[in-house]
Amino acid sequence: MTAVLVAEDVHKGVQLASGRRLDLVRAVNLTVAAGESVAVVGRSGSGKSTLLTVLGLLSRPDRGRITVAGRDTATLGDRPLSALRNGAIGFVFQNYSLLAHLDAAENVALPLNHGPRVPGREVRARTADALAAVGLAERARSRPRQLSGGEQQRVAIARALVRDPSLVLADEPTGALDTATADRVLATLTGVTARRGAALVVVTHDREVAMRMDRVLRLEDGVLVEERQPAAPAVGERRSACV
Amino acid sequence: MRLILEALRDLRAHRGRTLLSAVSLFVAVIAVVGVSTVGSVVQDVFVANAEQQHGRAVTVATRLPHPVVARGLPAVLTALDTNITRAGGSYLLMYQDNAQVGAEGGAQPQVVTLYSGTPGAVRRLPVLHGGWPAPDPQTYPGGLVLNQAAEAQYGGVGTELSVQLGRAFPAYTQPVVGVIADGVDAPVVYQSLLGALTLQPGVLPADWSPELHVHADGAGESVLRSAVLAAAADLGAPPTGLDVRRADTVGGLLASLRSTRSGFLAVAALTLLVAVVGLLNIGFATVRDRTRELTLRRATGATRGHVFLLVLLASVLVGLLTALAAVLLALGAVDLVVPHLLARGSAVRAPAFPAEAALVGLAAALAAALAGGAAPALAAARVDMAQALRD
Repeated sequence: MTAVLVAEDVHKGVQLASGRRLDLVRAVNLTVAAGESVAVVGRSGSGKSTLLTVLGLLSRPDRGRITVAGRDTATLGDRPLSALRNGAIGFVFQNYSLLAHLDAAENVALPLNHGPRVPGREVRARTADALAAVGLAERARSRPRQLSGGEQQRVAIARALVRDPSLVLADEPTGALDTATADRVLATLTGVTARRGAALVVVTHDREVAMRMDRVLRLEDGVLVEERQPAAPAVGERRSACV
Repeated sequence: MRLILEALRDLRAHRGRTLLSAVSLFVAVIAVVGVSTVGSVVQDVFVANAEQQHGRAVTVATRLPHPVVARGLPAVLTALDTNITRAGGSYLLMYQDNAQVGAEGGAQPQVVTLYSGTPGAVRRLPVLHGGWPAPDPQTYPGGLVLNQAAEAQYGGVGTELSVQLGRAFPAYTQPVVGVIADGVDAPVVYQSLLGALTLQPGVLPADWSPELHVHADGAGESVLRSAVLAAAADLGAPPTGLDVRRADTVGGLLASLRSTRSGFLAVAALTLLVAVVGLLNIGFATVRDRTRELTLRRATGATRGHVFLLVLLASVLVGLLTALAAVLLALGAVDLVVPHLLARGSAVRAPAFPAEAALVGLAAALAAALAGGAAPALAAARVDMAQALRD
C-alpha cells in the first residue's frame, strides 16, 4: 500500500508570552496509506491542531521530516509547498471556513484558482462534480449565509476534494454541528474520501467520530500513541498502516 | 487578470474598509490635484497678465535713438524684417503721440500708439472684437484698434473716429476695426505706423524715437539681444549705443510663484502622508480581520506571493479608482467652473485639460497606495497559519 503521508520524528512547539517554549508535538512518527482513515484524539490544547498544521504543510516542524505524496518537504520553498497543498492535500476546518462573499460553487473552486491552470469549463465541471458528491448540486449559487451549518461543512468537504487530493486533513469537522448533522457530514466525509481513495486524517476530541476511522491515535503530552489498531484488511475496504 | 478580478471582489466584500481607504486617499489626492491644478491656473493668470502688459517670455526691449531711425521708417522696417522676422521672431515698434481723437466732432486729447510689427505675437493681447488690420500695404491705412477703456469711451468696431496727430496736420477719419484687452485701464488707441504715414506723410516728428520690443518663441535673452543689435547695426548704430533690456517680468514672477506653490505642495504632501498612515492602519486592521480567510487561501494553494499581490493590488486599485474620481472632479471644476471665473477680456484662456495635475494625482495615489498597501500585504503574506487556525 502506498504511503501518502509519512512523518518522522516530528517536533513542533510554540513560544509562550512568558518567553518559555512549549513543545506541543514531540517525536511524532506517523504513516498514513492511501485510502486509510486515521483519527487523532486528545484533550483540548493537547496540540492536535498544531500537529495537523504541520502535517498539512501550513507550518514547518521544528525538527523531523514530513513526506507528502512521495515528496520530502523539508527543503521545499514556499512555491512547491503551496503546490503540494494545492494538489495533494485537502483541508476541512472547524467552523466551515467558507468565504462569505463567494457562493458555494466559488468557494469549492478556490483551489482551482491556484496551481496548474484549469480551463473555465473544467472548473465548472469539477466544481459541479464535487458539489454533487456531497449532495449539494442544487445549492451551487447559494451564499454561505443561506446554507445550514451542515451544508456549509459539506461545501468545505467538496472544496477539499475538488483537486482530487491524495490526503484530506480535517480539523474537528463536526465540532460545530448537532449530533444528527454531524453524523451526516461525517458519513459524507468518510464516504467521499473512501470512494476517491484518499487518505483521511481527522483531528477530533469526539470519541464517536474517532471510532468511525480505521485507526485511532491519541496525542498525549505531545506524543502520539496508538489507541486502536486497524481491523484486518479486506478487499475493497480501507486499509491501515503502522505508526 | 484573474488576480485583478479577485482583488476587485475582495474590495466589494469589504465595502466599509474600502470606502474608508478611498475617502482618506481621496482627500489627499484631491489636495494634490487641487494644488497642482489651482497652481497651474493661478500661474497662468499671473503670467498672462504679465505677458499682456510687458511682453511674452522672453521679450527684450530698447528705445531706438533718433540717429538709428533717421534713415526713415522703410529702412528701419527692412532691418527689423531681415534680422528678426526672417529669423522666426516677432517685433513691435511703438511710438506714442499726443493726438485729438473723437467721434462726430467731439475730439479730445488722447494718446495714440503708432505701431508696426505684430503686437499679438510680442504681447499677449486677446482680441475681443474684430481684429488687427492686416499688415498688407494694399489695405492701408487699415483702421484703428482700441483697448476696452477706449471702446467704452469712443464706441466699438465700426465706429468712425476723427484722429488729429499733431496740431499742424489736419484730422482724418478712420474706422475702428478691432477691440483688444491690453491690461491698461486708460483709453489707448492703436494705429498702424504705416497707416498713419499713408494718411499723414511727415507726421512723425524729426526727433522721433520709437520703442522696440522683440520676442521669439523659445529664444533666450542673448539671442534676442543679438538680433536687436544686428538690426541696429544695419541702421548704422554702434554696438554699444543701445540699452537692450529684458522687458517681460515672467521669469521673476515664476520664481516667486514657484516658492508659493512649493509651500502648498508641501501641505498636500503632508495630507498624502496622513492618508498613507490611514491606509496602513486600515490595511493592518483588514489583514488582522482576514487572517482566517488568508490562511484558507494559503491552505488551498495560494503562495505567499499571490497573497501579497492580492492585498497590494486591492490597495492599488483603490488608489487608482480614487485618483480617477479626484482627477475627474478636478477636470469638471476646471472645465465648468474656472471659465466662469475668468473676466471677459482676460488674457487668460480657459485652462485646457490639466494633464500635469492629473498625472501628479495618479502618481500620488499610486505612491500612497503602494506605500500604504505594501506593509499590510507583507503582513498578509507572512500570516502565521498555525496560529490563525488555533485562534
